[in-house]
Amino acid sequence: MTLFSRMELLVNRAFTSRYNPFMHLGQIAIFLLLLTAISGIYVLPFYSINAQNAYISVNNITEDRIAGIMRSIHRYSADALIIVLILHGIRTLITRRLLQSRWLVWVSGVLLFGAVLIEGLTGYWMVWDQRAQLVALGITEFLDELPVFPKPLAMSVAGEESLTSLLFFAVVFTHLALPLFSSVLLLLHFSRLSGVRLLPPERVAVLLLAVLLTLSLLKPAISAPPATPYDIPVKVPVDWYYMLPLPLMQSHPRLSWLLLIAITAFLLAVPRLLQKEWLSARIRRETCTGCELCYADCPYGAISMLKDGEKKVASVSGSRCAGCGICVGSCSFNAVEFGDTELELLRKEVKSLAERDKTLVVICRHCLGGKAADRLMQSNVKVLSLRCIGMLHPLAVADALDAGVNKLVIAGCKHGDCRYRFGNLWTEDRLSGRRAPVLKHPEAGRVRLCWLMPGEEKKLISALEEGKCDREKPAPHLILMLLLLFTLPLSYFSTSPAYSLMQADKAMLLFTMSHPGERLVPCREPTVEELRAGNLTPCPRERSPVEVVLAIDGRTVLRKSYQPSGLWRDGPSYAYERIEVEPGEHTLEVRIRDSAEGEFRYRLVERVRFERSRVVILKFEKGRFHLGDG
Amino acid sequence: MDATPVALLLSAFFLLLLLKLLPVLRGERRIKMVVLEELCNGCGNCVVACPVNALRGGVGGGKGESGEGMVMRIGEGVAVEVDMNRCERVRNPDAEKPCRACIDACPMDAINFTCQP
Repeated sequence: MTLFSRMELLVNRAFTSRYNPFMHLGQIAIFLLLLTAISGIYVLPFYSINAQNAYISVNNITEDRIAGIMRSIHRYSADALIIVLILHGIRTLITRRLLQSRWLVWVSGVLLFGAVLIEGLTGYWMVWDQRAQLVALGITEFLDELPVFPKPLAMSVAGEESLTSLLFFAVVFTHLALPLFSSVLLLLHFSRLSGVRLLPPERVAVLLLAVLLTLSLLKPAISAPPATPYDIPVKVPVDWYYMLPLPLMQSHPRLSWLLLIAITAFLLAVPRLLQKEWLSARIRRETCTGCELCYADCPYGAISMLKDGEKKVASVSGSRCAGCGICVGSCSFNAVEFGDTELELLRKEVKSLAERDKTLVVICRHCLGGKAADRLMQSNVKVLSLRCIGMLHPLAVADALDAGVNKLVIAGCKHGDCRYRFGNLWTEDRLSGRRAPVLKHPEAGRVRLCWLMPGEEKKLISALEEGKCDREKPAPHLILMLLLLFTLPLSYFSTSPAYSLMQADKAMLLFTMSHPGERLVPCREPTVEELRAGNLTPCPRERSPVEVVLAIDGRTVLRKSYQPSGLWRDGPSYAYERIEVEPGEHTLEVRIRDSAEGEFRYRLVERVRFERSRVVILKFEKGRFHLGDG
Repeated sequence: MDATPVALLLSAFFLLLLLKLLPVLRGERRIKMVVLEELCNGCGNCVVACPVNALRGGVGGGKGESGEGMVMRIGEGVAVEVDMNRCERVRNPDAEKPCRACIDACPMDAINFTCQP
């Protein structure tokens, strides 16, 4: 038994299956998304979209009573969303709810998770405090690792010009527009389900809201100190739910790209890797009466009714079939073929297993498979193991009762936990007469239903002896404990432990350069004819790389040759380097050579004071050095 | 400038939108009566058995010709639904014992109820 299912069992003991958050993870995620949307929309009018005023406007939000709470809810529901989504993913993976047609649900889910991460990071960027600075540096340096942006994005985040308003606007735009785009993904996420409930049970929602509100009142979300381009962000409280990859992104950008691509590719490929066979139901047209029962029962909307001459006929779309076999249990006319089973064969099997005065147990293979079945077999009980309990047609149940079995126990997953969504619900409704096809048998009352979780095989055996399954009762003290177990990490990791970009007792030299190298081939003036023909540069445009040698106290710390940008290698060379320096006074020597051969044309030697946790910015632009600090 | 009114207005608008969508979000189920026309012999037992039909007179003969205020009637030889909103089963689907008068009355097992997703 895995750790996860142990955890789930514990949670179920506290909440009971009706309110078990583990069985409503997706719905809870939707609820949290709605909370972030509402709180986000509420604080939006307070926010001013530019780097200069953003920090002040966010501070105003915090000081306003309602908006402050809204901001906190915005943060904590976003953090809780990450926890819930990860659990949702793990649960989907280990219960294999991603096979067959459900690959689309998984793939859209993985992409949605990525969108949520981007939302979180851009959201923290918008505040433009020191935390935002960290995020911004992290993201831009990470993006600069790709040869996409000719001028490093990081240059507009760090340094004097601070933040170009265009980049900042792009970030805000992403944060506002991404939810709209990803709602398409969200629709895709549900598109293959029928009868979707998007909201969790009211009590779960209220409890969650109460937790988030309490947390918001006890520990309101506040900004870090305002962003200062001349300071190294030291001991900044960061939200580890979103910024966990930040340290790796900043220390090993190339490795993190590889990891990102590898992990994404792996996650996207998981359904394909796990898929062994594709089982899909088939309808026999001759026998189908067009009663629509399978159409109404299919939890994935894979069955549609087609016109076949005079009558209507059901038809299964193979690509949407999740392979549960619930339709076998809804067709009384043996019109559904499912792999190597069909209703008639199932009934035959039941008839052969059912013996007078013996016990027959029908179990769901997923929650009570394997060992439980073996153990039952040994205890002289006949066992029928089904792919989904929903396959069990009432006619087969009636067959077993006709055969005169002593006890007939039908055991499957708990409500809300069915691997195929509705198998257990439909079975219960069919046997109790709520749903067609209903069980019509004078002894229908003798059937015992037993809904269990994986790992509760013992309960099944005791249920066999006593003839009934025990009722679930909520355990308030366990609920309280679990809530604390959820809330404490939620509150702690949203700000702690603090993160420093560099050690506090170090200083930093930030060197940026944008300088075009010399042309490789000196160009002549274009002739009048060439100008007339629109040819302004009659010779090869390629430029030479720019070589930089940077020494501190005579020790070379940087020697690098920067390639010209542009497809034709005719643009300026850009440099962006962060160099750690011991605090104190140092002699800084920079030499720059911008031609292939020839000497270092630009040279700067200067005594510079480096102070603890401060940044000295050295810029080289238009052939001139600019040295600046706070 | 105090942005509170704008914020309240915007979020109220969003909330209203959500409320409008609430039935969709909660995934409310529609219950539908399905009559298997191949099986139905038009006997009218269901029309007589239905407790809602019985509240109105006029089910004499078991066909419920007028159909007024009824759940189902017999038309063209088979049972057809008239107004499912009156049906006890549709109005109270989560009852401990949902109404199944018509299902039990049918000699041909031609009446079923489904939850249309």
